[in-house]
Amino acid sequence: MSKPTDLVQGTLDLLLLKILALEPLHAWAVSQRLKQVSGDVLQVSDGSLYPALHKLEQEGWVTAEWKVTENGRRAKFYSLTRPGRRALERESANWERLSGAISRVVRLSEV
Amino acid sequence: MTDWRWFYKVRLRLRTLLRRDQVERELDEEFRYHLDQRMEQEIARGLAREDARRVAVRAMEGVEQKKEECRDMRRVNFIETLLQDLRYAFRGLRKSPGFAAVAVTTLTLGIGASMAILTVVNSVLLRSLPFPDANRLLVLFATSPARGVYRDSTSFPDFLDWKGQSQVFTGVAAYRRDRFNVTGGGAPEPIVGLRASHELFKVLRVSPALGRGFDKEEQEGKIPVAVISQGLWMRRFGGDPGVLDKGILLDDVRHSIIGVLPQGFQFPSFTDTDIVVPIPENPSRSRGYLFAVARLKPGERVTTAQRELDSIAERLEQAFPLTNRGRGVNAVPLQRVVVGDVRTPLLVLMGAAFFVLLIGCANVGSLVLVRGVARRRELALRSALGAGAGRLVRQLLTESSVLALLAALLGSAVAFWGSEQLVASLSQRFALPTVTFEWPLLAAAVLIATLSGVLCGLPPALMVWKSHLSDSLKEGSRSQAGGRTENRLRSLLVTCETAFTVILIVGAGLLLKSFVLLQQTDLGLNPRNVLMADLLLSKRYADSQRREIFLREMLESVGGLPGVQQVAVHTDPPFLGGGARETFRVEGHPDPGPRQGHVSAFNVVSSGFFGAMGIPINRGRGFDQRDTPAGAPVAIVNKTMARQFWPDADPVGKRIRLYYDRDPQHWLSIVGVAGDVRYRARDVETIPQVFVPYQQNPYRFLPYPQQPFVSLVVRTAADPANLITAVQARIWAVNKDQPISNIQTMEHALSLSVANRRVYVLLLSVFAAIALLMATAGIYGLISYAVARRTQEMGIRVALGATVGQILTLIIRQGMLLTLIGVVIGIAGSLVLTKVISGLLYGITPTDTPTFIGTALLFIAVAFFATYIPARRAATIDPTVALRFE
Repeated sequence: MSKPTDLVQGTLDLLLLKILALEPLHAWAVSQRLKQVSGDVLQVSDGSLYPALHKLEQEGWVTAEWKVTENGRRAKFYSLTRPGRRALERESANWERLSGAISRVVRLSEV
Repeated sequence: MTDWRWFYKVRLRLRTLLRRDQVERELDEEFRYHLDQRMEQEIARGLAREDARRVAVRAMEGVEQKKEECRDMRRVNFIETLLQDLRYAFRGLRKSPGFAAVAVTTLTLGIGASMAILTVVNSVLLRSLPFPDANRLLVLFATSPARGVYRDSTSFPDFLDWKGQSQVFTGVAAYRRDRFNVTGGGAPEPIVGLRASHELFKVLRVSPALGRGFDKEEQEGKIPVAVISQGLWMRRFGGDPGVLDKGILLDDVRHSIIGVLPQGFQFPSFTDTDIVVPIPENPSRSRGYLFAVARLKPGERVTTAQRELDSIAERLEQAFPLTNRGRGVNAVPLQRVVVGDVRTPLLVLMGAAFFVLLIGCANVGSLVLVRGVARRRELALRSALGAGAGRLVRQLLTESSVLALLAALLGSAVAFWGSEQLVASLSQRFALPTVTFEWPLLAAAVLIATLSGVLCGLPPALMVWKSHLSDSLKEGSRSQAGGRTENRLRSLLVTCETAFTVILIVGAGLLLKSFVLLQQTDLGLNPRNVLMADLLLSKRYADSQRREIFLREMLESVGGLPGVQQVAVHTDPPFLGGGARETFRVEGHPDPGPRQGHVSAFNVVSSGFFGAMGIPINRGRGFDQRDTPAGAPVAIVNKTMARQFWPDADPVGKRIRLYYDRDPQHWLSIVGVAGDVRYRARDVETIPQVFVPYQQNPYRFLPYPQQPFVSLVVRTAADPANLITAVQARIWAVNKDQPISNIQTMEHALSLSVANRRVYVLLLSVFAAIALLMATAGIYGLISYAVARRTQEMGIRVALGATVGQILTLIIRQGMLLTLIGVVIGIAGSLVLTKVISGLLYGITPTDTPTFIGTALLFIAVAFFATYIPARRAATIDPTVALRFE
């Protein structure tokens, strides 16, 4: 069996899109937010976040700009693009359908 | 829904490419920011600064690796990477010039050979003929399947029916190649041209550069017209634009010039076509003397055309059973007709050249592997510094591709030179188009090079992919350690090389043996000291009495030359392919009809013929002064014919009748049996042959009034080449307007008839030799390397008392095992592949056991020496030196 914290393939993209949909964030803040929201259940290593964010950027789903943070340093802020928003809707719907289906199957087996 | 993603994407890609430094700085800054934040967090939790840094870095799971992954996300990386890899590659090659030289040379040979053949294949087989939509042109032949004849000429009425009853063609034209004498205004000139029906220009979609083609009325008309070639126009009329008002003397008949052909017009093959004149219309269905060329309507297929022609032929069989029973039609694409003879050999040579290339690749791959071992630590270091496996593989592939591209550059030069040589040698027999080097071929060269680069770089790259490189970093520097994967891979490569080489040697061996057997075949005549020449007689010699006088005078005049032993004329020059055929019936056998009659070669000869040719008369007599027009009609047949028709009786005194003879009562009595002669070429089996005496007016057999043609044979006491000018002078002394063509020694004609075969044998042997050399080098390299790696081990063995013989056996066994596996695979492959060349073999089967055994033994012997030398070195090493060996 896989470890419970393993991310389902492809769901990292969905999580990142969702987090960035709320507000533009830099990568460090994204990693903090991810931990905070999921209550440490979803552990994404610090390093893996970057290739994932850069991929989303190259796909044109998020765009990045350099801004000054609250502590006065420059950081790269990622925000969702319009195609990114559509991708998020699509992925969320997929996820709902999939997880719904899986839940139903799991419950069925418990009866 | 508009997708704006491309907008973001393009902007990013451009930025990455154009502002690379800034993008890199930003990447650093982003990571630094993260690390700093994490450190602060950890310090806030109470960790010391150094510990906090360590935790932050570890949490990233490899900062440089992650950066590299981010770079990989940029997609444009391959361009940057490529430039980087190219720099590395060139630096690497400069550092090891020996390796570079060997690798490039090996690949140059492989690429050069494949390119040269590919160039010829492109020019000869692939490039379309110089007519618009040439792939829709078909040549229509008559067939007699029952007699195994599929490319026969047809009659004029049949041609009209094919044309009139078919729906799939936009046009059908009749043609026939012929020779002509051009006289008047300058030296007599023998030329080759076409007699064609008026549709020819329309079917080929060729319009004369000047003037026009002829029409239906002119084809049937009484006033002869001609369309001349650019060459003839320049040669005889100096390119005078007023040529259309002039006439030209063709075979002593004035033809009005009505047009000039476009530059480079050649039909049906790549041979001179100096004139086009209307074809005579012979109303007899039994007289086949022409071929048809047809153009398919757009969208129609060859198979459809063939079906339609089949049904037309069937109707004709029913309507004209006497002449057409058993006759069919065969539609063959023009391109096929033109290049038919060289197609298979060229494809075989191309396959062989690619084999050489593959062997070269295996060799270079093996070299790259050896280098790879030396570079293991370098690669491990790169990997530790963040290079992914994919990145390393790409670097290795780039390196080998650079090698291959260098080789392609040199190989192209080799190819250009080689293809010219090849076409020049093939053209001795077949007129081939000149080879031009074209851009698509350069593209092909680059493609081949890149493919070979990938092939060469693949084995070491695969190894990188599979092996755990970090292990090699830890691994001691001692050279014995590791390398098992490399050894296995190299063994595999050497085995493949061996197999391919064996296949090549078997192929070359079979062709070589065929060639030797061919040279040893008994021709049935004596080709030494014979001079031959072709004479197309002037029209005034159509009159038999005048001809008789001219020929007698010429024979006497040439025969009187010092050094000439015997002179004769005949109508069927040997070793030229084709040749005259007649159908005949045998007295006492049932009459099969003219189209189904027995077929024989047919030669009209003067009395000295058999002596001049050196053909023995085995039974009866030769021709002599009895055989005059007034004398009883006689014939001589060859042994094959005698055996076939009178197996148990003496053929002398039996009678045969030629169907084309107008007189149905004209039976020829056989007076003699001549020896069998390989008349068409060394490798063409003898068929029944009929000889008739020249004096008994043979020209009634011709399809329409035509110039008498004779071939002169002169047997000399010494080298006949010395007599060429003297013979010419004697002929011109009798008639100064007599053109003489193809004057040559019989040995020369004979060697031309096997010239192509010689080229194939030579090339395939060269390929096989290169392959053998490379495979030997491969085995030698493998064993030397293995021995060098085991030097210490050998030292220990010797120190412990192993004898020289034991060490030798140990190492040689390793080499020979590989060799044997390779040889077995190669022999198995040959059994399958040599079927392809069965058509090129003579006197042996494609599975000729001696050739196979000989090849295996040859290869094993060579491989033995290739392993013996390094083995010997290992066995005689001083153990004290070996043990200290690093």
